[in-house]
Amino acid sequence: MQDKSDRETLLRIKQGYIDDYTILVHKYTSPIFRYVSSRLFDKMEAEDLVQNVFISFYKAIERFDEKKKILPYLFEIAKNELKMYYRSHKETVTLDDQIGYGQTEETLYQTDKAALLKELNKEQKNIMQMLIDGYSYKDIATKLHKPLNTTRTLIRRIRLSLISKQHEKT
Amino acid sequence: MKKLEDKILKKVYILETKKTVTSSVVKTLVFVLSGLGAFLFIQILAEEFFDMKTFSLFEIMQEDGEVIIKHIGGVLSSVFQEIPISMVLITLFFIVILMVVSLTFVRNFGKIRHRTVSLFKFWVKREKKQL
Repeated sequence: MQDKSDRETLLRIKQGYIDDYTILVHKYTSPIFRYVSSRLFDKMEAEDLVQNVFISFYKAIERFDEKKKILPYLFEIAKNELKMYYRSHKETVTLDDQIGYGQTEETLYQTDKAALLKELNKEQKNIMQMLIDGYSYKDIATKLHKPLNTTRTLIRRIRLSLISKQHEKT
Repeated sequence: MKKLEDKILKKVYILETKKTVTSSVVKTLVFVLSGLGAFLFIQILAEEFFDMKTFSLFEIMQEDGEVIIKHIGGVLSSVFQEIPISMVLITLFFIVILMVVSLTFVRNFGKIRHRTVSLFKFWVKREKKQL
């Protein structure tokens, strides 16, 4: 059974002999696992990903051209799975995220207002002071002679940097 | 590595079992329902034809060739006028579905058999291992 070529094995799987998928799994698990674990250091995550690779391949086996080689195709699936994994584990901050906007100026500077403000540059300090004093975004934009959206972005960046600094300290 | 391979195979077999069971149930249901539908509608149609004596129009076939040729057009047009088209179409629809399902089954019979045997072997082996 082990001597069968990949082509024969694929044809047999397509004919319904799904036992033969065992041959492919035995043959290609090691190279795929090595490839995935060289890019992912968590062994458990790597194993899950390898499982996904083989399941995706099994699902696509009916459409797979048996004349083509299997290993490059498996590597391609693994690459896509890795991409998806990285994408799902990427740290992102959405625009409507609670970070920054969910907090009031009071809670943001509860710890050490002066120390945090010290780490900002002159323009940022100025903006934050205006916010603390109760200026609206529109007022700040007018005072800075900048468009409203630019001002919003500036404020958001300041808040995010303050939060990250706060986290670093705690 | 052996453990990982076993996990992969288990997942593949679970997937295939679900797929096979679902498709078998769906196909059986479609087959039974379309069979019942076809049977019911054929019966209703036959009853209607006998009531309307539509088939008596074909008694012309017992006549001479010349008579048949002369009147066959008229007979056929009368038959088409008498038959309930919607009923016939529904019956044909059921028959077509029944045929498609049956032909697909016959064509894929080998594949289905091999797959079922493989699944059965895997789960029996697993059961024995656990015992």
